[in-house]
Amino acid sequence: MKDLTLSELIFILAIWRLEENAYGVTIRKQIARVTGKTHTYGTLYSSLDQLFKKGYVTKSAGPPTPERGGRSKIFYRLSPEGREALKAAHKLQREIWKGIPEFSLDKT
Amino acid sequence: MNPEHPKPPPLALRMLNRIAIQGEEYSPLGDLEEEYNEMAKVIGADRARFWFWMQTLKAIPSFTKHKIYWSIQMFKNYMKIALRNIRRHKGYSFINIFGLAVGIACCILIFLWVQDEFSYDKFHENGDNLYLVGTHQRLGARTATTSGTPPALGPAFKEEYPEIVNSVRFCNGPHALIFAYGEKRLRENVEAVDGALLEMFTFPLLRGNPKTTLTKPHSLVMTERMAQKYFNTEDALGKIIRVENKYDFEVTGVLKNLPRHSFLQFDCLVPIEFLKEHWNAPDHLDTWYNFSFTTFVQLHENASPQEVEEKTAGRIMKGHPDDDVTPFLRSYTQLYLYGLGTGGGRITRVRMLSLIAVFVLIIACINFMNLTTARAGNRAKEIGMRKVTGAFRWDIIKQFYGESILMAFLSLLFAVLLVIILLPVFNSLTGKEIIFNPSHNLSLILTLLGATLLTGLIAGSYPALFMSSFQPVKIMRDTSGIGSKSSLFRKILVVLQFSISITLIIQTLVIYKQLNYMRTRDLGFNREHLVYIPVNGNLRQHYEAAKQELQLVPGITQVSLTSRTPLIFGSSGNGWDWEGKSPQIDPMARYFCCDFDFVKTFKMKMVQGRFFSKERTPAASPQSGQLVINEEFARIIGNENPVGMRLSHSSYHGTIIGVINDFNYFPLYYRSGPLIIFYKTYNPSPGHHFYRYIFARIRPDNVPQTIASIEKIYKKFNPEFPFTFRFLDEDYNHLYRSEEQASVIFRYFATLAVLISCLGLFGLASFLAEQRTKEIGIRKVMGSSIQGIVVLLSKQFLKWVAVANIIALPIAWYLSYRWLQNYPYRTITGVWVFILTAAMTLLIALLTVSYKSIKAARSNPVDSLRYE
Repeated sequence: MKDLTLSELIFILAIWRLEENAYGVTIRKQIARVTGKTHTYGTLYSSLDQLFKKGYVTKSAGPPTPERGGRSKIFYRLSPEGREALKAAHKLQREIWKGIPEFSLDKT
Repeated sequence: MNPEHPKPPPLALRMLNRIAIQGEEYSPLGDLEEEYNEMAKVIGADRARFWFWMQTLKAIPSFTKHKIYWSIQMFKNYMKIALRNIRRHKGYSFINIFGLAVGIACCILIFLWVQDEFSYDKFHENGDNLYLVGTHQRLGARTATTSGTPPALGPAFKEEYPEIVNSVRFCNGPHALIFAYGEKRLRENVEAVDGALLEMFTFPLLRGNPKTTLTKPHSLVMTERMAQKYFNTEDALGKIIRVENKYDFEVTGVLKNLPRHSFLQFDCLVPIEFLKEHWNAPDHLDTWYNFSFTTFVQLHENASPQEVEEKTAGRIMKGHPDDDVTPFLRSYTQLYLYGLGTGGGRITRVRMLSLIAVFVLIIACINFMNLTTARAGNRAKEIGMRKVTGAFRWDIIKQFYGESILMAFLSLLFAVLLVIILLPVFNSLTGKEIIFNPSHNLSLILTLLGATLLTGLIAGSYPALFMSSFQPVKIMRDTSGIGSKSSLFRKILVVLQFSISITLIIQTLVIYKQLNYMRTRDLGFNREHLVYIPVNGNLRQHYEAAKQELQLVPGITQVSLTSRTPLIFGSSGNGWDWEGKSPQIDPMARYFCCDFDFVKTFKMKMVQGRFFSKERTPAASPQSGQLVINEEFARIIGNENPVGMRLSHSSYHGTIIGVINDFNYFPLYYRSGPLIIFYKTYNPSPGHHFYRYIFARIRPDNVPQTIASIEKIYKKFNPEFPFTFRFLDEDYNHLYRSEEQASVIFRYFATLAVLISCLGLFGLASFLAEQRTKEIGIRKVMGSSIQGIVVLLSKQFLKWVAVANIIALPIAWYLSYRWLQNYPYRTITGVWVFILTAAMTLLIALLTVSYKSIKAARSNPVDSLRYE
């Protein structure tokens, strides 16, 4: 399995954290809260689409609601592959940061 | 509306709707609206609306990218399917593409031709201000419209009306004069004109000054082509050329060769003043009485032709009070196409051919529509699949339109190839020099692309709209009914197609019949074996001697001297008076002059009385003479026995001595009306030149020897002149060229129309036979004969063609009736034309259909029933 890119990691983590409630609006907000970057829905959905194609996430439609102009929410969940990739990424991150305290990065 | 859920700005929403990623598994629109709702509650609707707009605008780039990506994917798929279909069904594709290609090629050729016709006389700088002066002459209840004007009109118009800046006169009639320079002696067509011609019209001079070239009476302007003929590479300017072995002309200008797209065509020009000397009539150019001049005027830029027409309305009658003649103006640039505006003209042919082009294209489109809808059943499963996997109706419509446009463009490629191959043939058919050069012809490219696109859209519209309406469930369950659902529509189209073809065939036959009629009609005299030579040079003094010598030639049976040939008939006049004439009638009679032997030479008949004879016809005087009239004139006089009556014209009193049979002294486009034949001349003033031609009736055997003898006699009198002779029947053969061209063109296009229609019928027949394979198998198993099945399969097609015949025959009859009204002497359409056409179309249809029907009927039922 290929390593996740940083932006993929950000998306997958956001979806994982939102658990049952991961859909367009919440994912966008979550990512904005963590990284400070706001996506437009165009880029948001093309990124989500990439994740879906690679098999990291699954989609399911919820019931239509009036706030959304009668449109359904599309919920995203992590697939088993997504979960595996997330674990692998976590492990890799731990490994590469091992023994490096934050203050030492200030040294020249 | 629910106040708790305010709506986002509708325009932005609509924009998003157009471009956003659509489908069940995406919901950006819902997300946006949800967030908007939340924000509206927190920060207010206005700011939320602003936010929504910002989001919309920001989303555009990535949404668009997505959209384009997917349309390319779908387009690729559509292309693939379309190409597979073309390849899989080679026969049908060939019929479709080839039929359309022929249709488009026809249209391109006709478009080029029409474009060429419309490009005449566009090069004159003053073109918009140039007008021909024509005349309306009221003759009782009838108005005669001609381009003839008296010679005094041009100068008077220019002088008296400030709106008329310039004017030029042409002298009508053929002026073939003999030109001699060094060893070269040739006959050239000369126009006698006013010098203003070169200022008004844009015919650029290579040498010489346009203002002064035609000022001296013996100056001459020739085209580059003619200068090359006489002087080769030498400078023509200042050269002296001898005309009619009598006058010496100085070349004062050389014109650039006239463009092909010029209504006026001439090789050389001489000043109109020269005619005074040539005709020995010093006041000839100042008269208001001779209507044998053509006048063009140039109006001032701001002048309106209507106003000028009103102002000049009475001007001719001021100089010529005897007749009711009014001048009118006709735009020069329209002259080529529209003539004098009295109907007819080349524009009729332009319209007729354009109509044919459209018809041929319609026939080709019908093929396409028919085959595609008939075979819809084969595509039904595909459409069902597409719909099941999420295609909207619009997607299917797009796909089928795309396919037909693709076919149309493939056809365009073939059509261009066909045009390149056929253009030389087409040029020789129509007598044009059209070049096919799309890169220099923007309007052609645009028309081509536009027409092809339109063809694709029209041809594809029925299949696209029809097939997209299929309901997937029905299609998947049962495909057999789909093709037949549209069969009524197909029937109508086939009937339409054949109706057009039948109309074209009948027109072709009628044109051919009329042409044949004109060629072979009994003209009232025998035109075979008549040779004529012009009376020119010394012959003018010695024609009697020449005639006597010619009569001695063994190959010649009769010789006659005449003022005209039956195809070039000159003067006419009204104002004749007789006893008991009713004041309402004033016939315009043609004049003809000849000697005693005219009736014998032309093998005509005297209906009453006798013809002129040596013993009983005295020399004519200005006061009296003997006259022969034709039957038409006798009918107008209304006396049963006009022989012995007196016909008077002012101070002249003639005696009618005989009535000659009505003969056609005009091309058959015109009715040959009343005629007066004079002995020798109708104008017995001294020096009047009356005989212009010597006609000789020769024996059909040993023609070359006879001609050689004629030449010897001619040369004896006219050693300086080249010998020219013509056969009268050859003149007639050249006469009806425009009918001949129309006949040939119609023949080709009618054949094409029938061919394309049959192609379509063939495709349809083979498809239906294929569809009924199992039915045929079962019928054969049950004991049906081959003939029975062939009849079964062919019957319906023949029924359609029969219906087409029933519809088309009256229409075609009416059209041919209208067309024949143009001709005063016309053939009758004849029942057999219709019977022949009906039989022919039925037979062709039967042959087309029977090939496939017989093949289907003969197939082994085991093969067709094996699979179930």
